[in-house]
Amino acid sequence: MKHLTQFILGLGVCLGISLSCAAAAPSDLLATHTAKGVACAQCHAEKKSQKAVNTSTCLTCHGSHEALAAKTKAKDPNPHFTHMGDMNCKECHNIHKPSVNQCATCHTIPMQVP
Amino acid sequence: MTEEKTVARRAFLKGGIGASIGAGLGVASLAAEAASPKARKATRTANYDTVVLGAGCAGLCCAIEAHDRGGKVVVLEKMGRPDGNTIYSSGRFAGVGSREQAGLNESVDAFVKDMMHLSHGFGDPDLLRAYAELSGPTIDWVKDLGVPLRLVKNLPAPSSSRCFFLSGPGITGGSVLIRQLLKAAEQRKIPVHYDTKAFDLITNERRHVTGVHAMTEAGPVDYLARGGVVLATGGFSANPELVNAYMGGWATRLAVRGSRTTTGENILMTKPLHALLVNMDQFYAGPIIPETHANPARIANSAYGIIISREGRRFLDENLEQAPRSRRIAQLTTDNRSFIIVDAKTDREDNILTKLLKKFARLNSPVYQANSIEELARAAGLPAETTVATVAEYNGAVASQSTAKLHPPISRKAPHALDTAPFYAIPMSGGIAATFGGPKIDTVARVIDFERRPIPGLYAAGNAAGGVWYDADIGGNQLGSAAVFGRLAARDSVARAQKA
Repeated sequence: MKHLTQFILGLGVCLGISLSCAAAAPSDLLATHTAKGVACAQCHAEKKSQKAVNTSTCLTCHGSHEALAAKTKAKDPNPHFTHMGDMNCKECHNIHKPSVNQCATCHTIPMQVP
Repeated sequence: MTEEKTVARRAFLKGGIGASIGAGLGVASLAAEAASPKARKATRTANYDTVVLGAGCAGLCCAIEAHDRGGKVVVLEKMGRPDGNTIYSSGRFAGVGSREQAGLNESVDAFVKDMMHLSHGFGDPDLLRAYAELSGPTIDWVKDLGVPLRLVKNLPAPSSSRCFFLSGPGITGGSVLIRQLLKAAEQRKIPVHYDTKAFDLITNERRHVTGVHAMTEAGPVDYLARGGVVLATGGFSANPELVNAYMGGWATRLAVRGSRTTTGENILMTKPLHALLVNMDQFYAGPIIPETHANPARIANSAYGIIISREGRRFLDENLEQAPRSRRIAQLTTDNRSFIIVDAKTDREDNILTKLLKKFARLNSPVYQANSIEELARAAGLPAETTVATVAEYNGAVASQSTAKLHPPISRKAPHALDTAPFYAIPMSGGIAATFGGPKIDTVARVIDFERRPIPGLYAAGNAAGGVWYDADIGGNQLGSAAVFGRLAARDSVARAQKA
């Protein structure tokens, strides 16, 4: 019980310092965003927000769905141009937890999702 | 606003919420909640002429038509983007009388007659005529919205010269359609509210539909509709409880093709208003490989091969139409699993084997190949002795022209023997796609009740509507009629709002 209390306290301190401590296994995107000097508040406008950011926030830096599709056009199928339409980024990409290959929910399509 | 109007509006709101349907709460407690200042603050209201539920083909066509007729319209989509069956569909539109069909021998009468024939007489001739009459102008209208529909002429009957196709680079035709309809809606500044789920209809004291209670990420919103609420929510193929209730337990073994979010809001929202639910056991079935969602339809529909169960035995007439054949795989096998066994000759029909192998490789969907039937059976995990015997019996019947006497018989006119290596085993299961059951509509897409009277303010279109389709249809009927009844619902609801 004492250990648990210490853990919770520790977690609380950790959360206070950086949201990145909140989840056990962040995706590759945490490192790539951090390396480019993207501060928490640039994506999370609300203070202490732990909600996934909206697609429109992602696109302020990443351009448009068309631009993303052009970037990954060499892949077959192109993960940014599928029959699902213009998907919301958070359907596949996570920052603070592992990303998800949404194609694989129906198909056997291997996809390394950063 | 005058004092009288304010009071009337309050009474309307209170009555509306008090008379809400299916919320599972007592009327008194809801009315009390509505009266409290806290609840008034919590539930926002928004006013429109037409409130459309679902951003698929029917819903978006409805919204665009409503806007163009001067209506104030909103589309509520429960998912974060359009996720109904349209984006999964091949994107065919069937119709007659469009500009491109001028001079072709395609009439409304013949179109209706063929659709009635496919429904074994259970289709509704008035609804099919309403669809047929507006089908051509609607195809022109959809093309004018920038959707690149292409007519393919002289297909085998009943498609004939009635089917328009859509295709896109590596995506479904249905996805091309939705992308373009969304652009058209955006150009018109039609609001599409995503992650907004309508739960139940709001009615007034006379049980007329006046809006929907919806949940958004920011909290509850009552979307009020002066003209009407249009259900374009799709069917219920992805709701196993409803599939079990209306089709039977065997149907829950079918793989869900297409959307996994078409969960029967058309039934759940309208049933409390005594909507007449019809054709509830009817749906479109098709072949699919559950693990990869690859589709072996082209070979299953060809004149080649036999279909066997995991026990290595034939169990149906391979010559059945796609829908009944796919249904029977789930009905007649214990595991909804079968294999199409074909040989190298299959490529004589438009290279369909080579095309399938390429398509399946892209989707990492296994196809087994061997130089003898025995090796093929072992590769596919089928019992070798039984499989070899089944193929030998079939080949013998082909040689003696007695395939009609096999058990079960094969009704193909010119069956081909399995004699040219390499041989292939293609997995195939049955899948459920569009459901045809739902609240019955009239010829202007109003939902009708037990007494065959339209429920004022309630409309349905696309797979949310019932009574239009039964058993089989012409490829392109589903999207074609979704667009037509979506537009008809828009016209009537906007006119109703303008009169109000």
